[in-house]
Amino acid sequence: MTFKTLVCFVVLGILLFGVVGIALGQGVLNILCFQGYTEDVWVKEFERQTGIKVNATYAGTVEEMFTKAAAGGGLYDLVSIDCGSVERYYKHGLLQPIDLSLVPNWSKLSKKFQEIDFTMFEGKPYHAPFVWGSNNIVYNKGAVGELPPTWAVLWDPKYKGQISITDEANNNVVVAAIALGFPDPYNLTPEQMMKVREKLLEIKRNLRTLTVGFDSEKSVLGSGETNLTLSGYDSGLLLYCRDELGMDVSRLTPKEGIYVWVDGWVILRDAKNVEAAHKWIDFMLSDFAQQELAKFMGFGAATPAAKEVLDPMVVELCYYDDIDRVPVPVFLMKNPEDFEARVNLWNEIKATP
Amino acid sequence: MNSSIENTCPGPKKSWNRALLQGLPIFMWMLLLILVPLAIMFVTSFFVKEGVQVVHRLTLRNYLEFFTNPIYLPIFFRTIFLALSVSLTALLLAYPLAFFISRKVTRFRSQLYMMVIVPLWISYLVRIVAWRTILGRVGVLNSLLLALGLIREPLPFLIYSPFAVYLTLIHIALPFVFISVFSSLEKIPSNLLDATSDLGANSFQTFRHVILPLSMPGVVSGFTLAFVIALGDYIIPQQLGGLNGLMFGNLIVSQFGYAFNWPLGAALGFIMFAVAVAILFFSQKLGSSEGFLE
Repeated sequence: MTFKTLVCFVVLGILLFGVVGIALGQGVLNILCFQGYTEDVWVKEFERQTGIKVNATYAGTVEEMFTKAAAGGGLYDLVSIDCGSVERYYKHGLLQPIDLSLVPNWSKLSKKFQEIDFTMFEGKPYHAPFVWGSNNIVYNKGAVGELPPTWAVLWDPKYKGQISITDEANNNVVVAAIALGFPDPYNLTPEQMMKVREKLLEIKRNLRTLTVGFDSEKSVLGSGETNLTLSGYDSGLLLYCRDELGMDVSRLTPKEGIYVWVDGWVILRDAKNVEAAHKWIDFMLSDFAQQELAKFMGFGAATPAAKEVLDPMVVELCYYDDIDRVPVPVFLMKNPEDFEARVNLWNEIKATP
Repeated sequence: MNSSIENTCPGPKKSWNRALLQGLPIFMWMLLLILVPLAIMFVTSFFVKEGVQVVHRLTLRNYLEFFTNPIYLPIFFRTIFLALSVSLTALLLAYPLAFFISRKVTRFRSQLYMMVIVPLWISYLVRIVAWRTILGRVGVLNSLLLALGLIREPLPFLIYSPFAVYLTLIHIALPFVFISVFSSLEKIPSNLLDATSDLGANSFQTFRHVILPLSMPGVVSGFTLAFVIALGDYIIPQQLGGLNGLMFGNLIVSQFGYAFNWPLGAALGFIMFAVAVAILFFSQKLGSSEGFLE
């Protein structure tokens, strides 16, 4: 055996040992999430506090995340999903319940999040919220003045040609259903769906355009193309228009209610490190993590700890410091009765001249 | 490529083997990256989605949906019409330009050629955003027209309209048409043109009877490229088309990306693919009927 081969064997041995060691090691937590949910600031702090190493894998879309989680094999311990998707994961047998005795910070959660019942199955919680946001109208107050707090402004002929909504089927069906005052915008009867259809056909006459994502929302509202823009990232749009463009902008909180998504952690059934997963869930509800997350994203905090770090305008207009302060009905996102039918309805509306 | 190998190799059997070996990587590449995915898509288009699952039962339901659901056919024909107008306009713009640069210009010829090609270096998405800046309400074009006093209010139809889609697609397709036409014009030997003038033809007759027929292959391939680019695009309609810019590509995307009805998406995709292939086939015949100069 020459010296070279010896070196090769030693290196290979170390590598092999390392790989096996990591695979067997209890000190690793594998997370599957969207980019932005595992930033260094709080991941480093978690690793420092617990000695557990965090491996994050990013998914680009909800569907990619589901495919990766469903592939199994114990590759991931935790996944970040919205509250509306929990049922689907549960029905596919992908989840295990969260043991609240291992999550002391659970009691810090805003009340509304503690009371969510549709992510509980057989009395056990499966979803630990850590961030939320809502789809709302951001408007150019300088151009249209103070708007009355109602979704009806979207249909008001006064704003014809000054409005944009998102090019997302489900979002728009939910908004129309809330505007019509239906009690459950995620579970519509065929008659209610017909009314939604008429309502959406009607809104088309008032629209300047449809937006695709945050960049296009910034572009239409920022360039005066629209004065009222339905935004999936209202706090970001408000701050962009105020700070970068010096515009006088505001956000509507319609009296009929708002549409809210909640992202939270779920533990996969074949998770290798259940204990570490609980530690992460608890850590993400700590004041430190909630503040860092709010600083980084500007979305709603799951506990009231982040008020100080959020922009006062976002606190005042979006209530992102505490969902319990929202003064109107809150419709938490659920899996709709038939997602595909909503997509096809929206296509039909877009195709109608 | 294979024929040249055969010519240089002694003995028929050996050369056949070598040709096979050398052709194998290309064949595998075609098979794995083009034929297999196409076959998967074709088979998927006969499956059916039930609930959240794709059921492997063969049915024509997806194709029937295309013909019976009233949203698909009008959008389909609108898309074909738009793609035809885009490729025709791009051709009408590119031909004189290519003719001018290849026949009339002697100095800075390659620089002019590069200027037409340069937009291809810029990302497609960046160009879309650029058009947003040009066509917008407070955009370059409206500001200019307002400043010149030609209009009193910004023109609203410039952006978020089928017009914006049409214009941007032409801009995207133009360099491709230009390259094809230019290279076919370049191939025409100058002694043929000398011959026409010796025989007393004027410049229009020369163009009509010699240059135009000989540049047909470039015209056809440029037109086809532009047509295929415009036919399948869905980002431009989404970003600049506004409410009435919906195109067939957007409907396909919504089936794959939102409705998760992959079988229906595959069927719609295949219908569009069939149209593109038919156009390609048809144009190839048209292009070759005029004869090549090789």
